Amino acid sequence: MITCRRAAELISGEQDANLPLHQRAGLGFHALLCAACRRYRRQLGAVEEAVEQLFAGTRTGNPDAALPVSSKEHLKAVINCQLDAES
Amino acid sequence: MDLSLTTPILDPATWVDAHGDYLYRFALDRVRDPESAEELVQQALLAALTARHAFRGRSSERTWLTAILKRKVADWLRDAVRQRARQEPPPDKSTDALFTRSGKWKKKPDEWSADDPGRELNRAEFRIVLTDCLGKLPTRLRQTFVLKHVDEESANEICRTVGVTATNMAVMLHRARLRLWRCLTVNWFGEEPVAPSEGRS
Repeated sequence: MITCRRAAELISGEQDANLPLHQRAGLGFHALLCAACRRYRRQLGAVEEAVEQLFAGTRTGNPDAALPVSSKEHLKAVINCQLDAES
Repeated sequence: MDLSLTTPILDPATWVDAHGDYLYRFALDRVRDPESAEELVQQALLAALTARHAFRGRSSERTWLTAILKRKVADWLRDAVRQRARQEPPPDKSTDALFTRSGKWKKKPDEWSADDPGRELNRAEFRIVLTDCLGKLPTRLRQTFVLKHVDEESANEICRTVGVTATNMAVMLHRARLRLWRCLTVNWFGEEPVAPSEGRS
């Protein structure tokens, strides 16, 4: 039987692609007998889901961060300049 | 007739004030480096300015700008990962530390106090902890892991475009996830306070 260490590698791998049959079978058999890896598999799936949602969504983990004022002024100047040139 | 229904309205003169901070946070969450985030917002807004006649109004102005920024962020991450693509990932003590020599869990995963991080995401505190845990990942692991989530391509396709072998990619994603899982277990989902010895090690 594969080790928990190997099972954890496969549990990560199945997040990215379908595992080849022998790996899927090896992981399936291990998970059947190992409560710890079943739990890790469930929790990792939940972590992955949370990261997916964080990056897909519009909410942030840096609520206080702001574009520096110097950068804003510079950008506004460039944009206005461009708009003037076109009008 | 209301023109706004047929003609998409973009107002570039207001972009910086209306969306600048939002776009900056979007970039910062993903690249972590303030200077690069600033640079990417500039690039995205200037690209949007040039491309604004292609705006069809199918999405909001902000969504449209964000999509442009997201492509810039993915390019930036691809470049970052590509730069170290040929280096083997070094041995990772943090991964080794979780397993015994014979490959068993040293300490079995604990039951979490809440099993639904998706719902936890509604809480700003959780988003901050998750973002912090992502920030604590070693740079290369983080960039690889975030690229996997920002890039629309499959893992295989990402390997090809950045020149990382599938094996090394899998190793780095696995390590990133194991660390992230551990960090969230300790800092958010753990039922019991962490033993002092574990906290300090």
